[in-house]
Amino acid sequence: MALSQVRTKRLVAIHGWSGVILGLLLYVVILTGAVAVFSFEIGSWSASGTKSAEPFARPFDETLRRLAESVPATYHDDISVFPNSAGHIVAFLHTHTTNAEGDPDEKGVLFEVHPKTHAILAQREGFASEIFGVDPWSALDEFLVELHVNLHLPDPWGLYATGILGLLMLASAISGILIHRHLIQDLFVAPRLSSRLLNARDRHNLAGTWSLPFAFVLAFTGAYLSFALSLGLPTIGAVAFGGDQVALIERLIGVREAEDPTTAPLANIDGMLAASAEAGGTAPRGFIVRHWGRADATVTVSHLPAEGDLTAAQQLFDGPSGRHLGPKPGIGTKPSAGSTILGLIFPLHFGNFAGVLSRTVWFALGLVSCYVTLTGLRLWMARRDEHPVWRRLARAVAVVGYGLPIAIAGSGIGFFLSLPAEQTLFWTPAAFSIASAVAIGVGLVVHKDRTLARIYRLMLGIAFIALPLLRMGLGGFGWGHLMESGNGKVVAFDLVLLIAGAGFLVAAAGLASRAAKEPRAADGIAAK
Amino acid sequence: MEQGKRKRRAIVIRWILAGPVTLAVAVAVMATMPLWFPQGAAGIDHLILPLILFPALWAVAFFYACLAENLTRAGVILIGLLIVNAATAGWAVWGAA
Repeated sequence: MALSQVRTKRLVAIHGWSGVILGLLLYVVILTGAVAVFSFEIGSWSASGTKSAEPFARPFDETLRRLAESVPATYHDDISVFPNSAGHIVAFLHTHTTNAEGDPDEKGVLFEVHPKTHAILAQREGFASEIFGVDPWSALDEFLVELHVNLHLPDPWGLYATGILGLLMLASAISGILIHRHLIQDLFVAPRLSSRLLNARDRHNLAGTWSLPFAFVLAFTGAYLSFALSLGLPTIGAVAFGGDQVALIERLIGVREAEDPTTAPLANIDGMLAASAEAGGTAPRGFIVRHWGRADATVTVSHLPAEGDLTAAQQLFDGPSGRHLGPKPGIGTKPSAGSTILGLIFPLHFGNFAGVLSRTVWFALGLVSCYVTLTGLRLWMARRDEHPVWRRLARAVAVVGYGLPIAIAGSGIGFFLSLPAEQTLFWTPAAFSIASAVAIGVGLVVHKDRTLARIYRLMLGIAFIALPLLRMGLGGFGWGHLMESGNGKVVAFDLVLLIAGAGFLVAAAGLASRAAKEPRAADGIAAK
Repeated sequence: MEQGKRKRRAIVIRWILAGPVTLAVAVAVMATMPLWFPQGAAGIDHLILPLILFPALWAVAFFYACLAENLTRAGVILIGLLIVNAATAGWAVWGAA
């Protein structure tokens, strides 16, 4: 169907304005999202590797019973057990209630257990919203994920903000699809070399065309994830359950409708984990015991997606007998359209359906989307270069474009410098703010675009190279030990940072030599 | 002069319709979906699919508000949808009490 000229003009306006209005914030969310794809690996890297590749390789039944006996019986409602990025087993024995703000929350005792010795490394009691994400080893990955999820704004405003950004990205992607008259042809277009502006526009179109389906998927799933928790669940809870969100969540989780509080001991958990590994095809990644010590107890064991599967599987067991009841849908008690569709949202958003390979592709496509966002903004500014407001905004694009990765690397430097004193929870965000302020300060002081780009690349190169050196120099394991303990991913991460750092230093040197050859060359888009 | 004024007014109305009104319409339609959407085999489809479809509801309303040739008709349809759905959701929350 051909669009009228007026409608096409409006779609072009939607495509442009949706990027311009909140383009820089969108860039923050996309770049931190691309980084957050590897949040588990970043956590593992910052902790110099995991203690164990398979958290439940050693029998856990005896330890679980010891933990359950040490807490009040009210916390036997739900027991969640899963590994964190440092490889510690986290066991959270809790009940479902509401916190001081009146929001649904979980209250209980959280244990961190060494996966090999089963020694208790840490113990905290309180609401889940207070006791999770406060250990010094997880500060870096938690900080980056929170930046992506809610821009570190208070609840629920952060989720509203990222939800609105997701909707704007969706509008930009849909309008991009509709205004592309030659979508397939544009996938293979060679950027024209006749002028810098045309070349920049062609490269924007080329990158944009390749990343359009990805941008659509990310925007849709991201908007769902932001609004489902902050707006959707309270609204649906009010309409369908008279405001009882706990009842809504229980229906969605799929708890057994027939309650039986009769006392009955739980069967051996290790037997259920072994049976689940056989049925699920992969080693268990975690499990939840509902109603510990009761006749209606169930155990849900979760797995990563098996070879060739898109979604993760869960296996359900009867608690007292240990009998395998079959696969458990992600939500509800029976397979349904809602559960299947929801099961697709997570792998499509996080790219975790084919291990490191799919996440690397998601990371790369995330970087392409960042490029599209920034070049789109620059093209918009270049067309309005005569107006001082747009010129200043063009400068802001350069400052944020380079400043954000500098600040992210800065947060990593702050993390490692404060790790020996266990002050990472304060210094990781503080270092992010300091690095941001330095990047903004440089942007205010240096007026030539090309000089500014050279300084930023130098800063990025130095920061990226410093990260693995600080990790190893401040108590982290060296490459030899990491390879022996099966933590090759940490070594790979170090190498990626060193190569990226060297790449930025070379790029800075390239800009310096170009400036020496063409001292009067135009800056702007050419300095990208 | 008069034509320019009318054009500016139409742009402002379109921005209001495509901005706050479409967001409100999407929230209101999502809120009433549990009341009429099929529950499915597990009895959860009417609860989870409105949440998942929320971005699609917004996108349909947004592009309709942006591209509609007849702005008055678009305004009547969107605001009508908003009133009907908000009233139904309001009745479900407070009317039953």
